[in-house]
Amino acid sequence: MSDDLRPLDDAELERALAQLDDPSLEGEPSELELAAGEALWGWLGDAPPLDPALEARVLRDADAFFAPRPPRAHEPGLGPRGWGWLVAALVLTGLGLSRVLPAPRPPAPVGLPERLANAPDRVRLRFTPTEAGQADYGAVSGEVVWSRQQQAGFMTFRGLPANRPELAQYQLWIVDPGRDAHPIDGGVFDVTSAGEVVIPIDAKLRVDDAQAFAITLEQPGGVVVSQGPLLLVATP
Amino acid sequence: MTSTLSPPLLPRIAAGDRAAVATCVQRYGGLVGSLARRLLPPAEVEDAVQEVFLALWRAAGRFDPSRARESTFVAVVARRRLVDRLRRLGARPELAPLPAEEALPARRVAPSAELAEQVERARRALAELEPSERRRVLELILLHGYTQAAAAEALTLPLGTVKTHARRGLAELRQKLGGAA
Repeated sequence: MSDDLRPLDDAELERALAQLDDPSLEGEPSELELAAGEALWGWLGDAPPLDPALEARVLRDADAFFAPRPPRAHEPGLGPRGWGWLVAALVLTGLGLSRVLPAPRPPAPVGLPERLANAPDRVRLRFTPTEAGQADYGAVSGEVVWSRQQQAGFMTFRGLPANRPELAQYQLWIVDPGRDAHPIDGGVFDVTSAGEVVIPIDAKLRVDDAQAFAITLEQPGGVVVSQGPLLLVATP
Repeated sequence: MTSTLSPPLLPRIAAGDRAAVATCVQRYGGLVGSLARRLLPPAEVEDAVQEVFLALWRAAGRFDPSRARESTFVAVVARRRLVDRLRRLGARPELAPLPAEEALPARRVAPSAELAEQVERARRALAELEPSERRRVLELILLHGYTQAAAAEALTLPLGTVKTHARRGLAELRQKLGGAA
């Protein structure tokens, strides 16, 4: 089977070992890394299947991943209320979430304050109404707190109009242009009172580099791909 | 190289075949989950498994069946993502020896005859690694995510000895398993 394998030189061996030490080095796997992959089956080949709940989450992720994409911003049918302007603006300004607003820390859902209080990468951004949202959301104040490392965060709003869940629900979107041109579903939520509300973020996919957060109003249960309009956005 | 295995799933997935996705998760989820549990803190495991499969969907179009078995490709993608996550966490893997029956697992029911053959062949190759210290070095590096330096510290061996074991052990595995596509 392997009689025809060519001999490896020291440099190839060193590269393969470096790749195994530091897998952030991308590229096609070497023959040695493939052999290592084969060997893993020797240790783990009779592992039990995934827990059904986790398998269901993986499949839901796949549904979102393979969902049909909406038209791009420059394509007909998607006006200035779409996502393109937001992503483009962020790219042009080169802004990232490294800039943190000095706003006071809001109250938060049970558990999240403790989890995020000392997160070194915690960021806080203020929501502002978009042009489309000015009429109904101009008086809303709110902010988002997010930790990339913990993949967790929450939003606080004051003055966000109550929705009727049987008719429409708010939905959060997270813009991560380096990961995907389309925003990540951050979960749907309802507002039932006029006071301050605190909403945990329920990102459906991993967020590597959040560049903006945006709120839309969608059909009950939310949508996989939003057609907007964006009502509130939080950017650096 | 030719393959007698059933047609791989990843090209179908890359072409948008949603039915292949579920089969892929069922076929390889066990390995991904088990590797995640060995490499990462328990709180990280579920998110990490999800991350691995997303990486797999993105990489599906790059799979080349002439270079490797699909199961091997999946294992490589999984290990890369999981060890990368381990490094990003700054967590140090624990030196937790595997239970005896898992260090060189006994024969159990495998998911399919094809995978069973592959598993058996890999077990034989691992069992034949000598000395046992070499097998332990590879186990720490490949299965538990140790760097060579961390493996040297854990086994109280000189770094040079660990590097030698890693190089020779990998070369031997490649000789026994590398032409397996």
